[in-house]
Amino acid sequence: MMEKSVEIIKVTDASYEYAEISGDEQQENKDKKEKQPAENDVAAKAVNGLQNINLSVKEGEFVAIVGHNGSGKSTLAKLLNGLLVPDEGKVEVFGFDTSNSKDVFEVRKRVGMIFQNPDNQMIASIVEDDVAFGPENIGVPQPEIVERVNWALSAVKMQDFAKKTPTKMSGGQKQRVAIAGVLALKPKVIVFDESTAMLDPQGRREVLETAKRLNREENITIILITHFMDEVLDADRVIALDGGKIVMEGTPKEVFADEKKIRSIGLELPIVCDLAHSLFKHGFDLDVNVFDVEKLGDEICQSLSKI
Amino acid sequence: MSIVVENLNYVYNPKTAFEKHALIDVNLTVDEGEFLAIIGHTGSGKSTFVQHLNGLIKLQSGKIVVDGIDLTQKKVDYKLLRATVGMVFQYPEYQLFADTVYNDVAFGPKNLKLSSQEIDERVREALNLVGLNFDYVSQKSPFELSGGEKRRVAIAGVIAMRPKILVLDEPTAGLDPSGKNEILNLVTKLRETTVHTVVMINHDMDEVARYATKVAVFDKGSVKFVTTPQKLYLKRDELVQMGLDIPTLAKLKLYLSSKGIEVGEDCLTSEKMTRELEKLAKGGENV
Amino acid sequence: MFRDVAFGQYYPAESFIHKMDARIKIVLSVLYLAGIFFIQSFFGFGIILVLLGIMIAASKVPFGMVLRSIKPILFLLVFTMILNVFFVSGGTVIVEWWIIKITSEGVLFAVRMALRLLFLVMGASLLTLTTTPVDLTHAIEKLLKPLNVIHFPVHELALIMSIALRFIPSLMEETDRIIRAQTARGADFESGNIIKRAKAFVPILIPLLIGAFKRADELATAMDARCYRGAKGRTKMKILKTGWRDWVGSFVIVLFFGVVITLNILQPQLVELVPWMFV
Repeated sequence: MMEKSVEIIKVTDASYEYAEISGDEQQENKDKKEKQPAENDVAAKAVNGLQNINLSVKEGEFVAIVGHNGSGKSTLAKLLNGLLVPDEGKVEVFGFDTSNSKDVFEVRKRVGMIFQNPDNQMIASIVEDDVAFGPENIGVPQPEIVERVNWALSAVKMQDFAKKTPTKMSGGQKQRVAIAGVLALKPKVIVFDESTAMLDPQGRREVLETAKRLNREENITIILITHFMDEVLDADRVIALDGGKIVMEGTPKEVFADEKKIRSIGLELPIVCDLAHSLFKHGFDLDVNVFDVEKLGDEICQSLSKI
Repeated sequence: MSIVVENLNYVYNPKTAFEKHALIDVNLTVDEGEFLAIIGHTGSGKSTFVQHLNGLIKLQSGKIVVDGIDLTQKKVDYKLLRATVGMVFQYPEYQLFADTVYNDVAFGPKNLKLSSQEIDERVREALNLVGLNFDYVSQKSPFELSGGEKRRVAIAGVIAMRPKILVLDEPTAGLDPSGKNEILNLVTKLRETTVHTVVMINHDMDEVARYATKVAVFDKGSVKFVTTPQKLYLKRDELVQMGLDIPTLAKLKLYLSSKGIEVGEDCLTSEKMTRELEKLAKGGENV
Repeated sequence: MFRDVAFGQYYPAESFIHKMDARIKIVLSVLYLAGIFFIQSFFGFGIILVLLGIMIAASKVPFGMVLRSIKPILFLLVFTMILNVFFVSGGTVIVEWWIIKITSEGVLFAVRMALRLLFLVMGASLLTLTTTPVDLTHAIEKLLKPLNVIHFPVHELALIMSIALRFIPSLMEETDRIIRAQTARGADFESGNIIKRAKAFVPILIPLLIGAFKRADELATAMDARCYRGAKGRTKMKILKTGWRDWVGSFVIVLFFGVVITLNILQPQLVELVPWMFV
């Protein structure tokens, strides 16, 4: 597709380190680490930072970023809309350098972000007031705010909840309101920072379907950060992080083909894929790159009929 | 019988405009040694149900007997009940409060008014069971630990009460795959050592399929049915109607069956399904 | 445990009062609160009761919801009543025993104060029940705008208020959950002396505080991500507009208090005409 060739986000050699620990403490931690037996995971605690990240995202893409907790994926997300600025290297969004504090609102207008906890990203007690928060901040004229709010709520199918309070809504509904709140800023990119982690299966489905629909119908670029492997199967591209570095990159098929590497970075294969690998190892002649039950079923039928 | 529940009903805000029937005629028994998974949507009554088991919610009508403690009695020994039924809430790490891991884990045993020697023993045992190194971790602040470790400390705080029955409300929520496995393996290990019976609320059908021996499905305040994970595939339509699902490999079993390939019921993990299919393949060779 | 606290919660409905301008509602509420202290006679209280009844009916908020707002102040209500009964004297002596003396004046004073407090809280909660926190804070921001001249942070104050209102239910829920979790670990909040009981709350307060900071941090990040940059250049979706409802509302309130004040002025004459009205 034409539009997918336009590069909108460019990360060049970006590194980031959290500066919470002072020098002394760091030294102290190091000492402790050395005294600790290797199997103790407390000492091996990851630092969440990033090292030399290079990344390019094209318009209209659906990119999934996976990695275990502490692999740096949330840090990467925060770099993309200027919530964090790299210590070294550069992040450019639509030509704006995120380290240029003058342009940070230009960046945030274009790159919206949905967070993990649906309860902690809602500012107002009424759905439509909350959705209006973003456009109000950037000074959109009043009649247009109303239009944007209505559009955003119907885009996530929450228009019937406009006057409701979020307290009695499900997690999935709250996250859809949060998505509407970001949509009202008319972003080009939405980053989902583990936005499904706290939801039940139905809520996860709602959020994921919404993300896919926005990608398809509104041509919004989606960057989905998750550790549910079954959520990334439809992505155009999967990026796996470990220890603050990009360790794998490719289509879901390419990434999940390397079972060993996936497991070595603390992740798992989707269960269908896992079974396919297991069968293959036990002598079944089938394609291991399958993600859905029916495909695998067909593969199994074929494989059995060959015997 | 570890847990017996008969005709349990519960109404929130009875006789007001906000009246809500949270539980309707719930009947359920759990044998000693069982691992019961409870599934259902938010608001299906699961949480209300499990909170009855250690008396956090007082019985309104019906009967509950937990490990021989009859909750219909006028005077229930709640201290004994809470030592018998350990309860791990959702995101238990948000309930940590003490200055050191040691003191946090010791909170429960202290409330049981045990001797300091006994408390010390139990803290060591509990931290050891959840896989944390006592010498390294016990004097640390729980807030210095990583998310998964905090959760294990919180679980240790419940284990230190030495409960016979362990109730967990979505213990794997928010964790990454290896964090999930750690917690589930921990629960399995506990069931083999100190805890006799496990009751776990869980949304993930594939996890349920891997660990549970029994499944109870809650919907709109009542128990729709109780079955084993292996037989869940028989209830597919009912579950889908409730917005729930069956385990992925149970779906595969059904699909294969529609193609004329019958695999056994015990096929819900990759290993087990592989074994089942190998049996078929070998059978085919013999013919 | 804390779920039945109604105060400060918005009750969504499409009513006459819901549709009034929040600024007018605030001004009228202040007028109403001040007016209550002018009432002297029980006849006056009767009139205000009628007014309150009309307002509740016009708001479409269930009466029970309004009544529940009294719950948190019940203790204060009883306490001040007892104090007034014992310490205000005058009129005829009803009971006298040892150092305790209860007089008719004391009882009447106590009842009047209790009624005032009741009407006050019910009126005030009607304001929060019918006005969304956003409108409320927006209105306060507008009403306090003149203070900007002396560099008073009006916008920030309004924002703090609306966030506080938004998070009260969440924090209540969280408190409830933490209490349950610690109870499950055998914590006992009910027995022992005051110091022991106060200490028992440490395992609740610390997680609650840590949780609140975490929330605050996440909320601040989310606000940043949605381009929040203070009051400068900000627009508002909801425009506060005064309409016919506001004039009608103001007229009703002013009318009622006109009657109350007239009654106060005419009291000496009226007492002679209809003495039962003015106990």
